[in-house]
Amino acid sequence: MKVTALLVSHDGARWLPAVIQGLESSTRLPDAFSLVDTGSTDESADLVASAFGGAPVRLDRDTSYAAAVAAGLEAAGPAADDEWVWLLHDDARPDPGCLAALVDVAERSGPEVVALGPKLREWPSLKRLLEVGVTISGAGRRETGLEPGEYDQGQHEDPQRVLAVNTAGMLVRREHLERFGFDPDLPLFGNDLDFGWRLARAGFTVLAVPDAVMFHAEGAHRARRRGELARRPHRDERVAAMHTLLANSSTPMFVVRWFRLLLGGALRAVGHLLIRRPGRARDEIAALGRIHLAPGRLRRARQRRTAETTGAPDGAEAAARSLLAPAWMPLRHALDFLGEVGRAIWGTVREAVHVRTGAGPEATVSGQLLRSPTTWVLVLVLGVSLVAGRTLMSGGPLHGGALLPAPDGVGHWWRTWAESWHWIGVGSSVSAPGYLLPLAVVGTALLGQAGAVTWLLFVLAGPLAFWGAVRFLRRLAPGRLAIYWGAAAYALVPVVSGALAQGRLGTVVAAVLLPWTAGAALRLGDPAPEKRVRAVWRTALGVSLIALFVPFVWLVALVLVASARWWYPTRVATLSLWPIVVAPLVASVPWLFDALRHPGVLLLEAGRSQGLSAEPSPWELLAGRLGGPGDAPWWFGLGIVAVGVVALLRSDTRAAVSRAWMVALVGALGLLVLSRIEVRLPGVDTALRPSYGLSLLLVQGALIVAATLAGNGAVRDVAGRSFTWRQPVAGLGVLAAVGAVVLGAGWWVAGGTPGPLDRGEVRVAPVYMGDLANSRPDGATLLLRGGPTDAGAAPVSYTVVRADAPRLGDEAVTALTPPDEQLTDVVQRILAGSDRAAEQLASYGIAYVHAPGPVSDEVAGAFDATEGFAGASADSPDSRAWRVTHTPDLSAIDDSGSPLHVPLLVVQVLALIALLVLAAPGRSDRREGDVA
Amino acid sequence: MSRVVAVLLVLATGASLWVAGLAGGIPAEEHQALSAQQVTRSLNCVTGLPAGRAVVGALAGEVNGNRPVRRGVVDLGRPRSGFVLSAGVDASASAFASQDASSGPWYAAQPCAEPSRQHWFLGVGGSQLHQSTLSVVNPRSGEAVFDVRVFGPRGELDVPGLRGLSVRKTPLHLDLTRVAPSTDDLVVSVTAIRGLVSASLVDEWAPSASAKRLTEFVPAQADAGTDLVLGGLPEKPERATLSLFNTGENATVVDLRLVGEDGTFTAAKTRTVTAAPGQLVQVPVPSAGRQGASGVRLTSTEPVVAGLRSLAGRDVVRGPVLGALGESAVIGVPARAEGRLRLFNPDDAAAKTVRVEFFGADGSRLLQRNVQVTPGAAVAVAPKQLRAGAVRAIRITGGDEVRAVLEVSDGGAAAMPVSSVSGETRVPAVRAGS
Repeated sequence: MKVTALLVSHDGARWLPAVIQGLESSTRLPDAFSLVDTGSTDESADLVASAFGGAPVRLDRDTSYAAAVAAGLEAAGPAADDEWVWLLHDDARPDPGCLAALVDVAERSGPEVVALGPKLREWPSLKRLLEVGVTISGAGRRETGLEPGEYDQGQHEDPQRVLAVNTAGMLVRREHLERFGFDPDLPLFGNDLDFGWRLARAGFTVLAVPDAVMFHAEGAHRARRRGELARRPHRDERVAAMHTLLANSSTPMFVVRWFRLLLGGALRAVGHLLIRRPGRARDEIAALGRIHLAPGRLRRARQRRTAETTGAPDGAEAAARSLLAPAWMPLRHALDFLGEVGRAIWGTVREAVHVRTGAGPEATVSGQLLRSPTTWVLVLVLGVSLVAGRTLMSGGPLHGGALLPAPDGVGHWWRTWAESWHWIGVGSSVSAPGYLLPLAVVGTALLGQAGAVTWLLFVLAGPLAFWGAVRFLRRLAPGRLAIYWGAAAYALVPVVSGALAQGRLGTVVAAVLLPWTAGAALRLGDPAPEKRVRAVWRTALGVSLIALFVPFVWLVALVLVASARWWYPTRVATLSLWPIVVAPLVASVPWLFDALRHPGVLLLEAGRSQGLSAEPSPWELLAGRLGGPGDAPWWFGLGIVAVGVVALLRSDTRAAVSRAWMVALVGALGLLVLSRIEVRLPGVDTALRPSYGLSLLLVQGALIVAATLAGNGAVRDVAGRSFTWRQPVAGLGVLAAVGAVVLGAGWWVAGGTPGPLDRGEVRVAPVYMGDLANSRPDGATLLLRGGPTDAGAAPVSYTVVRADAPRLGDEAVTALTPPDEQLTDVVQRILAGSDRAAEQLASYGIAYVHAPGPVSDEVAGAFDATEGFAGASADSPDSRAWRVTHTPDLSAIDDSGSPLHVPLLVVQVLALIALLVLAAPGRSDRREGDVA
Repeated sequence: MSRVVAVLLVLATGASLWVAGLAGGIPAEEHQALSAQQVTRSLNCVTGLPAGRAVVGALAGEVNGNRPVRRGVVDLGRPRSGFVLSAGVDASASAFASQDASSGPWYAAQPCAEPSRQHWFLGVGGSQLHQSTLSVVNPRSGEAVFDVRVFGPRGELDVPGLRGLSVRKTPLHLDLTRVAPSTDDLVVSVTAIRGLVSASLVDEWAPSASAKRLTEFVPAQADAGTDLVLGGLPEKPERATLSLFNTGENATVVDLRLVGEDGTFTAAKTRTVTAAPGQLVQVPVPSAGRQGASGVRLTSTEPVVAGLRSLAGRDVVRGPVLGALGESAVIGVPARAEGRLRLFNPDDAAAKTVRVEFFGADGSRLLQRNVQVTPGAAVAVAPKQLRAGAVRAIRITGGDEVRAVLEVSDGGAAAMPVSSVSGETRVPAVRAGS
C-alpha cells in the first residue's frame, strides 16, 4: 500500500512549521509527497520546499481546492497499485499516530471502503473535538453529531461509517479520488461533504477513524486567513451547502429541499437581522442569489452525479440517505439557540445588576435585587397602583372616557391592522392606526389576551412610569431620595392629571415611554460614536412608538432636534439625528397617508377624543390637570410648580435646571398653540380640541426634573451654610415637594381610580344583534339616537355597528371615514315617510335597527309604519328595535381597499424591526472582517 | 444661566399655560334638530257611505289616486271603497280632497283625513237610534297598529278586542253598535301605537225615536287643547249641543264663550262648565242663533276635546274644532254644494287680514279677496261664485292663527274645517353619528 501525502498550502506560514513537525514525528510516514501552493503571499511555499526537499506546484491564488488537488495528483506521477492519497491542509497538524491508524484500518477494510478520515480536534486547544465524520442536515447545516465544545475523552473509539470526512487528513484511494474528484463548483467549502455523499450514492463507504487524530485550526472557516476564495466564509459555506444539497438530492427531494432552503434562507436572514448580524443576513440572501442566478451550474452538477451513480449497487441511495442528519436536527438546534439566547439575556441582566449594585460577580441576581432599595420602592409603587386600581380588578373589558374596550381576542387588532378594507361602520378603506401593531404584538405575547394589554397599561402605568423615571433620573443626578421623589411625582402625573381616569391611552403610553426615550436622548451627545449612534436609534425608536399613540410628539421631537446643538455640551451634528425625525414618519405608514388628508388628526391621541369634554382652566393647566372627570384637585399640583420654581434658586444647578425649564417652556408653548386649534374630522360630528396630554407631560416632567436636579443634595448643601433666607425657602420647597406626592398618592389610594374608566360589558345593541353582527358583515345593526322627545329636539344620529360594540382602534378608522351621504338620505327618507327605503338599508348589510330609549315618537312611528321593518326584541322597555325584512347584502358598499396598503405595511414592519435591531444592545461579531 | 433668564423662563411658561387655559372647550354645536322636507301627503277618503262622492285636485303639480290629476279638480263620482290620494312633493302644498254624501234631508261633507297618531271623536253612538261606524286606514305600506278606547258618561267602557288592532292596506270598519253597544253618547279615541292611521267616523243619528236617522261625518280632533275654537254653528239651529271630554288628569273648569261677527261674548246662561277627568259633559248652547254666534270658544284648565252637534232645518250639523290656518290652507269644495266660508280670529287684540282665493273646476282662479277679521270675531265670506257652486277649491294664505270653516249645503248642511297645509313636513334631521 502506497501512501502519497498531498499538501495544499495557502498563506499558512503561521501553522506550517507545526504541521511539518507533526508529519516528521509520524510513526508511519507517507511514501511520497506531492506539494501544491495556491499563490501564498507569505513564506508557505518556502517552508514546504525546505521541509520536503522539493518545490511545490505553484498555482494562482484563486485556484479552487479541487483544482489544487488535481494538480497535486498530476504532479505525483502515475498512480501505483493500491495507492492512497493522504490529503493535508497547511492548518491541520497530524498526531504522530494519525496516518498509521488510518492505514491500519484501510488495510483491514474491504474494497468498498475508499476514504477514511481522522478525528479532528481543535487547534490550539487540542482537546475539543471538531469532527468525527460529518454529515449535512436538510437546512444545509454541517452536522458533526458532537455537543458544542465536547472534549475528546476517548468516547469515540471504533471506526464508523459516515457520510463524509474532512479533507484535512482524509486518506482516499487515488483511483476513486481521480474518478470522482472534488466538484470544481465548490472552490473551498463543502467539497468534503459533497465528495463523501457522491461516494455513498455510488455504493462506496467512508469511515471515520477515531484512533487517527488531526488538529485543525480551521483557518478559512474561522476567517483567520483571507484569500480570494474565502472573502465571506459564511456566504461561501451557505452556497456550498445549498449546492451540495440540491446537487445530490433525488428529484422529489430536490423540490422539497429547494423550497425549504428558499424559505429557510429568508427566515434565517430575518433572524440574523433580529440579533443584529446584518452581515450574516446579507450572506444568506447572497447565497440564495448565487444559487438561483446560476441554474445551469446546478443542472450540470446534477447531470454529473447521475452519471456517477450509474451502476451503483441497489440500496446505495438508501444507504446514503441514512447517513444524512435526521430530520429533527434543526429543531434541536433551534432549542439550543433559544437556550443560548436565554443564557445570554440572563447574563446581561446579571451584569447590569452587578454594575448597578457594585456587587462582585459572585453575588446572585436575586440577592442583589432584594437588597436594592429601588426594588422595594418599585414594589411599594406597584402596591399603591394595585390598591388604587382595586375597582379595575375584575369585570368586563376596561373602557370609559376616550378608551374603547379592547376586542375579545388580539386577532381583531391584527385583522384591522392588516386589512385594507374594514367592516367598521358603513365600511372604510382608511388604514388602521399604527398603534394597533404594538398593541397586537404585546397582546400576542400575552397569549392573545387583548384586554390584558389595556389593563396592564392603565393599572400598571404608575409603576412603569416610575421605573422609567428612576432610570432616567439616575443619569442626571446621583443620590436616591431626590430620584425616588422625582420618579414618584412623575408616576403620579398621568393619575392626578386625569389622563388615567379619562382613558387617555395616548397620554398613558407616552407617560410610560417618555422617560426611556428621554434617557436615550441624553446620550445623543456621548463622545463615543458607537454609543451616540445607538442613542440616535434608541431615541428614534422611542419617539416612533410614542408617535404611534400621540403623533404630536413628532413636532416636539422636530423642535428639539433642530435645537440639538444648544442642548448638548458636545457639538452634535443635527443632520446625524435624522432618524429621530424620519423614523416616526416611516413607522406610521400607511395610516399617515390617510391622516395627512385631515392633518388635524395628527394633533389628537389614540382613543375616542369625542368621548371627552375636558375644558381645563388656567389654574388646572398650571397645576398639571387636563380638566374633565377623574382628575385630582388642582391645588394638589401647585407643590410641583412651587418646587420647580424654587429649584432655580440653587446657583450650582441653575444651568441644568434652566434647561429643564426650557423643555417645560416648549411643552407650554405647544399647549398654547394646541389650545387655539379646533380639529374637524370627517367621521366625527363635533369639533375637537387637540390632545393636551403629551404637552402637559412635558411640562410636568420638566418641572420634576428641575426639582430633582436642584433637590439632589440640597438639604446637605443648605444645612452646611449659615442661616439665611435659603434655609426657610429650601424647607418650604421640600414641604411642597413631599406634599404634592403625598396628597396625590393619598387621593389616588383613598378614592381608587375614578371614572369614567371602568370595567364592564359594553353592548350598544341587544345581544342577539351583536352576535349576528360579530359573525358576518351583512348582519349589521343601525343604531339610532336622538329625534324629538319630551326632553327636547335633537337630530337623529345614526351609526352602523358591525360588532357587539366598537373596539379600540375602530374609532381611528371611523374618525377619518366620511359619512355615507346616500345612507343618510335613506334614513332621512324613512323618517320622512318614504317607502321602499328598507331595501336600500338592507343593501348596506343592515339586518336590524335599534333605537335605545327614550325613543322619539317620530323615529318609532316612522319605522313602525314603513314597509320592510318588523318589530324585534329590544333590550329594555323604553328601547325599540326592528328587523329589516329584506335579506341584507352588501351591494351598496364598494369594499375595495388600497392596493398600496400591504406594501406600506411591509415598510412599517421593516422600519420598526430595523429600529429595534439598531436600538438593541450591540453584539460583537468577530468572525466578520476580523482576520487574525 | 442668569437669574433674569430663569425668571423669564418661569414667566413665559406660566403665561403660556395660563393663556392656553383661557381657551376653554369648544362650545357645543347647534345641530339642526328638524329638517323641513317637502314630502308627499296622503289624504284618505273613506266614506263607507253608499252615496258618497269625492272631489280631489291640486292647484299645482300632480296628484295620484285611482287616476292622476295634473292640475285642477276631478270629481270622482262615487268610489266604491275608500280613496287614498297621494300627492307628490310638488303638489303636496296645494293638494286637496273632500268627500260628501247626501240622501233625502241630510247632507254630509268633510275634508279627507290626513294620517295622525291620535284621533278623538265626540258624540258617537252605539245604538239603533244613534249608530256610528269607525273607519281606519293605514296610508303607508307597512303595518299599523292602533288602540280604540270608548268612553261613556261614567268613564271608559271595558270593550274587549279593541286594543292592538292591526290594519294594512284594507281599511278597517268598526260598527260601534256591535263592538260597544250603548244608548249614550260616547267618546272614541283612536291611538296609533305603531305607524300612523287615518280615521273617520260616520254617524247616523235620529233626533227622536220617530225621526229619520240623519247621517253626518263626525269631525276628528287630533290633540286635546285648553283653548279651542269650534265652528259650524248654524245661524238658526233648532238645538245645539256642545260635547266636552276632559282628557286631563284633573277636574277642569271650562269657560264657554260664543263667537259672532261682533266679537266674542259669553252665552247668556252657561258661562262655565266643570268636568271631571275622563268625563263627558254635554252642554246645550241656548239662544245661540239669536245672538248671531257662528262659533264657540272654550278655555279650560285641562286639555279637552270638544264637538258641536246642531240640528238645523231637517239636518244635523257637526261643528268641528278648528285649527290654525298657518301660512297656507286649501280645501276642496264638493260639487253642487253651495258654500260660505267663515273665518274666526281668536286674537282678542289685533285684527288679521287674510287672502282668500277661489278656484274653479279647471284650477283657474276665479276670485281673490283680502279679508280682514276683527279681533275675537268671526266673518263670513260668501261670494256669489261660491254660493252658486262654481268654486271648487279655496286657498287661504297668511292666516296664521286665524281659523276657518267651510259651511256647505246641498239640501242639508255640513261644516268642513279648513286645515293648514304647509306643503312640508318637519321631520327629524339625520346625521351620521360618531
